[in-house]
Amino acid sequence: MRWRALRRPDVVCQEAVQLFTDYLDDALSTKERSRLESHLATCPPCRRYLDQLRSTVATLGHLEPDDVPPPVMDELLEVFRRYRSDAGS
Amino acid sequence: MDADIVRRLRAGDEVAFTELVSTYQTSLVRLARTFVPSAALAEDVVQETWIAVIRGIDRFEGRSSLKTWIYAILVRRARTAGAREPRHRLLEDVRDASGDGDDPLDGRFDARGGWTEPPAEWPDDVDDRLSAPQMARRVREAINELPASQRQVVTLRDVEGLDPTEVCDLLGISEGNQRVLVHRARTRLRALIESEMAEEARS
Repeated sequence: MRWRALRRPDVVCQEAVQLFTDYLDDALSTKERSRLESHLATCPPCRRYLDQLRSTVATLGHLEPDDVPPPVMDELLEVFRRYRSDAGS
Repeated sequence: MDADIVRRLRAGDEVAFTELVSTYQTSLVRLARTFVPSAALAEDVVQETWIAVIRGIDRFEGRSSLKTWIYAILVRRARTAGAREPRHRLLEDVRDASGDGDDPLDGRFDARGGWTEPPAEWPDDVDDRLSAPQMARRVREAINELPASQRQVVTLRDVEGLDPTEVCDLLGISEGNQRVLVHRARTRLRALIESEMAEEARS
């Protein structure tokens, strides 16, 4: 039992939510990671929170860009056409 | 994939150029806006960036991805444009230094750090709901309401999918700072989705 005194205390939920970004980025030390994973194993609300963070990140990655206003695109294409034809000739 | 686009751009392929602009314009404008005080100025910076891309594509060597190269041009130009606007920079610095303002998780834990108000369950079809145009619009608005430094990091990391290291290099911030900023931004955006889901459930 003596080793227990040397161990860091268990992760609480409030700390867990602070660690999730690093966890998802694989930026936690092995020790921190396993402390967090033992917490997750016993804490459904934290697992749910982590899933929600994953969905949030996925949503951000799938956002459709807005349409480029046609006048902006036309102007750029004009520059592209002019410059590339000069470059090519 | 980059090699193919670069080859087409060099050959003057207008379709390739149109696709490139359509893909990055939204994020470029959003990012530019974090450095300059007006939307009009941000659009100018993006315009200059595209012109620099058109002129510079022959010299692109592929040491970074094409995407990162474009963002690096944007950041350089936006910084220069933003530096001419000292008042704007001051305001943004003050806003960021105060942290997130209110932490969306304030009051959700007890004194021992356990949940008092655990996250509500999201519906099973959450992914479909999240991809609905109305939700996407809310998420985009919410990104635009984040403090500038969070907006920069979350746009590059999560919307554009750059690596943490690339983001640190582009913005000139430390790895630790990058993590804090992306963490705050994600916390906010998750909280926004949570409240949107709760609202949908009520209606």
